[in-house]
Amino acid sequence: MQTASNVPLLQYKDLNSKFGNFSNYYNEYAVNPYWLIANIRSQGTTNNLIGNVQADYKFAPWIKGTVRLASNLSFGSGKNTNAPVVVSDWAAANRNATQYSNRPGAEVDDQNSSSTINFDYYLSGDHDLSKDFSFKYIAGGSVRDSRYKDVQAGGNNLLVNNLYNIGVRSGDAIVGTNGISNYRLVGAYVDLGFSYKGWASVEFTGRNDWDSRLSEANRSFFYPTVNAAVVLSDAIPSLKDNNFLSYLKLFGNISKSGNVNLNPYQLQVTYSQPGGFPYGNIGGFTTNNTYPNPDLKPEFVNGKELGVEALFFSNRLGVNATYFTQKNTNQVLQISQSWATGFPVGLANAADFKNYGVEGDITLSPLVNVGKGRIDFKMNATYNNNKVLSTLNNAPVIIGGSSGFIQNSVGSPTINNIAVVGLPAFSFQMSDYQRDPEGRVVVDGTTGMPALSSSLITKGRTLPTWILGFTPSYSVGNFSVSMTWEYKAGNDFYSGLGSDEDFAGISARSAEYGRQRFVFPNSSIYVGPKNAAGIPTDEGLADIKNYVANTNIQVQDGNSGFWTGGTSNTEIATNYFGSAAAWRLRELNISYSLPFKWIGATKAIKRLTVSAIGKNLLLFVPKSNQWGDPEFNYSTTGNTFGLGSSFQSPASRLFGGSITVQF
Amino acid sequence: MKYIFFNKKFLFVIGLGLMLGSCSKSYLDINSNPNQSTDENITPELIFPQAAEAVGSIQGVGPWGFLDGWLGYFASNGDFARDQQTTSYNIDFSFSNGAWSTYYDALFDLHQVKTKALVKGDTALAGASMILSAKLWQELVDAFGNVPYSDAFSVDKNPRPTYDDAKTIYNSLQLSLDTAIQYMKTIPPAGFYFPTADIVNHGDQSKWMRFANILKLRMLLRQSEVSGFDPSSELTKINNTTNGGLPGVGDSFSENPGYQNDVNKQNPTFATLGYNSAASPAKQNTSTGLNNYILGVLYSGTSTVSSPDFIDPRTYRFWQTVSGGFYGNNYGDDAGNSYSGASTSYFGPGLIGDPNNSGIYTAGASQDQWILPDYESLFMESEAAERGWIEGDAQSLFESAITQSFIFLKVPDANNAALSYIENTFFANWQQWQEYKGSTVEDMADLIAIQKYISNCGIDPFESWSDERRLHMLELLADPNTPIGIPINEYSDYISANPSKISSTIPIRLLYPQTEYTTNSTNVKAQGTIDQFSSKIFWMP
Repeated sequence: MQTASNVPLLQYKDLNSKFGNFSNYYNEYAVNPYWLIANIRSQGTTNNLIGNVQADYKFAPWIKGTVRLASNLSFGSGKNTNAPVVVSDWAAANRNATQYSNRPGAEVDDQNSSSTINFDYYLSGDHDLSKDFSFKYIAGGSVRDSRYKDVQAGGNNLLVNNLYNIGVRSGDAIVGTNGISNYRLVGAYVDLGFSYKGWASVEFTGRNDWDSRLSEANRSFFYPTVNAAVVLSDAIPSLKDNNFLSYLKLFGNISKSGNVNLNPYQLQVTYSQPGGFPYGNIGGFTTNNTYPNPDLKPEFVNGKELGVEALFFSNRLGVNATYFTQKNTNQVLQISQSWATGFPVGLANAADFKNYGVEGDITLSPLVNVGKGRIDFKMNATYNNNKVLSTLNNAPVIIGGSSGFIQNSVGSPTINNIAVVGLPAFSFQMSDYQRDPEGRVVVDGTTGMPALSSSLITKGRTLPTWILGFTPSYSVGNFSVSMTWEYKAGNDFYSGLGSDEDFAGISARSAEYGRQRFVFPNSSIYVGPKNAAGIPTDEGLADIKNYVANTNIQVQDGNSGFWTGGTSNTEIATNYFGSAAAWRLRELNISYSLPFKWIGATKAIKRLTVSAIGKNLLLFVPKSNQWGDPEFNYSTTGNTFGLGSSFQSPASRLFGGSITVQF
Repeated sequence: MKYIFFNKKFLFVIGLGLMLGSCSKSYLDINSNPNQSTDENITPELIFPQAAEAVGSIQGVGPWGFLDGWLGYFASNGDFARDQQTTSYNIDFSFSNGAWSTYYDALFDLHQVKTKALVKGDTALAGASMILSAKLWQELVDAFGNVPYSDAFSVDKNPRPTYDDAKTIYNSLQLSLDTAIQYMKTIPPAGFYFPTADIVNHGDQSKWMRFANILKLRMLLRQSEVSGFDPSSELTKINNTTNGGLPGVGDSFSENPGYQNDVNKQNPTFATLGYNSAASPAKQNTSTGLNNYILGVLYSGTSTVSSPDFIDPRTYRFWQTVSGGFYGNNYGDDAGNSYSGASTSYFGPGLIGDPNNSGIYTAGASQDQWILPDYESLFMESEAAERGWIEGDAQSLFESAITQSFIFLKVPDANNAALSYIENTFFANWQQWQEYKGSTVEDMADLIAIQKYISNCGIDPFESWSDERRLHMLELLADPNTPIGIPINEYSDYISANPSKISSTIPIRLLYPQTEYTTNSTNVKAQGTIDQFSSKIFWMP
């Protein structure tokens, strides 16, 4: 970030060269990236053991008993090592100590193990009640036990250079999170399906869960589903045997599903030892920041779906369409609260929202034949709208994000995801300039500088309304090529990279006026009444007559004073907020199978395919997006969407290839 | 027949499932936390050391580092671009997030200690928490004015706490301190661990009472310029000797849970202004050093010697020399006009402890963290005596405060050095000041505030900011007609040199934090539009 774009970074590869070595690296604020690659390492291994035992017994032709025990054991071990920094005497004496000072090596070892044991038992079977009428059923229960344990230990001051063992440290060892986590889930369910002549079916399911992560009163919850389908092309004789329509199915379902969106032990306030505690024999605890509602309930999704599936022209054209509506109730959210409550984060069933839309796809197979080759085409489209129906106490719920986002630059914007009744699930709440009733930015009559508003504005939506996918492919003989294109639109995003770039002076925005003084565009000046302390009155501020357009007052400093200033630029979230629409070429796949005559059934090698694959090849974004891929998310609290920062590395463009040999 | 048979089996399976479900109560009772302490097993004496350490950390630079800049103590060196926000005084809402959250976080833990200690009947522990809380609440009010107080820390009832009037909070704190003093009069019965947990006064309950009384006096002094202010009822309680009296020489309040020279375990001041714990330690604060303004003040003020050869001997304790001299920068100056970090005077042994024989600074890493040094109490008592609020001779309290400042900073031969300083320095000398400025209470309060300002360099910038907001003593230092040895203006002004500054005076308060506008907007907006230059705290003249 603090590196100018004309610096030839590739030439610093040799860490022993004159300019590449640690002490001589040109930048006072950053370390040679090649040094970091070589010296800050994180290595780990995970071993998994998956086991499965199943016993079936047929009590009667239509009663089969099944007992299944499945286990997944995982053992992980990792080691993070930071190499010691040894700088030259000259660098220690003359360069800034933030980077250029000696530091000992450090290491942390981590061991963890987890186990998930699933025990399922059920009876199942099917039976024809008559020639036309049959049913099938499953009834049973399940028990899941999930455990996790993690132990960390390490040392900050390693006495022997480049030997990474806790035994060679001085001072206290670092004892990291030593966590145990265990939950149990017991379930009982029934699934009953009826079918008539093979073209009409209806299925009922019901399930009750008991989950250890909830309090005794809320532990048990039931959720049923019913779905039905009819294949009209089989049911209605007049639809049979025509060249136009080859298959037509209608289906629908009404479902409810429950989910416990919690980790174990989240129902209680916790206390832990922060910072340097314990100091010798003095321990000290602080109240942790989250206040959970001990009465948390499971989340439910109540869904309704109605759909059609059709094939035309001897299966050459396929069309699927589904209308869906979902009501999500009791969403467990992390809520931002005032620090004065003692708990800046609350955990509660804080919002209900609705999701509705249409999902469909069209398959053309083949779309067209070109000589010996053929072109196929598949397209899918989803329109998904959503709306918050209610929130805790009907007050806006701040879901997460941060104020003073953790970023490189000093003074960065406040932006959050927020749930407001009647708005999309979810929208953004963010900092903005002070504006007059017409929306013009209000600048100071003397300095020409804009200012940060105390009110946050709410706008935008976090999730796309439209997602389109296009998959054309072409194949001729043994050669085939396919592409996956995707378009998402309707949502917005915030790029924290923007304010960092402005701070470092490497953004296009910051050079917009050639670093010279300028008149802030579309701005006005307040000339209305002020109170005794010289502060504009609320009534005055609300009246558009008290503003005059600013045509000639330039900002007092058009250079770093403006562009790195928090209230004038870098803390204004709306400066870095925009449409998240994007077209992208997700994947390009080219493959070639060697002709059968060279290999083939009689030879040792039966099949050989060579393919090349490229991922994230192209990205097209609107001109307003100067910052790149809008699909990044990073936040200090909560599960959020559309909040990017400079801490994620950009999506990597990936090229790969494969050779598949079949013997 | 077949059909009915099936149904029976079927019901049996459902029954089995339900039975397993309902029989599993104890099987599912595994949700008590094996990793972290909860309300079921935490005790107040386990929270107190952390909360007391947090109070010390706040004092050891903590969230107030920028005040050291605003008040002319510290300035950025030339290694980094100046911080645009603090040096332009154009602070915004997020700027206050740190101070606000740090204070409420510490106050909440102190509140937890108090509540849980009272349930147990450990009144001394509750009293200690209330005394430390009163200090933090006062500072919160002094920085923000009205803040959530009576609605705070009751999240179920008040998820969006309303704001209390600043003056009402002051009055309520006086009452809380009275209660704490009563609590401190009772020795806890055997079985309570208060003395072990007390990392501040080690169970010395009469010292806690003196701490409470000086905090009471500190709130009264803040209101000295409020017209019609009558402190008499509170003074009666402070002057009542059965309530423990005021701190004297040697009554410094500090905390130390067992600081040591290791990562994360250093004394907070040392961790910010000192060196890291590596074998060849490097500066922790690579962007900040000596400010030319305080250097000018330390160089000046002598009536008999008008050359910089005679300087305040504390200069050597506040600051380190670079090639034998002191080199400072102007606050808010362009990086290009400032000395590099290596060429700027760094924080000295009075703040970060003395170096060892090989010249390496390590001792300060384990030193006690001051909360309220004795000299500061003595300056306050001197002003109170001058105002006729308490018994005692204002001048001798003033001189004793200066001497204690020398001793606090470990100036060599401190007593004699202080005597010579008082004799030779215009603004440390009671008589010379009276001759120049006059001898009214306000004149003498200015003198006391000036000396308190110098003593508090890097130690308590918050108190200096409050005194400046109350008495404007820094304007007197900047007065070219002041008969001081060297005009301070020759060195620098404490006002920022940043051309983007939006005012030529320092802000008198902070804005409410962004987090409040986000999470508690109705209540914070009820406080009206806040301006950092004109929205006064209730006690400001």
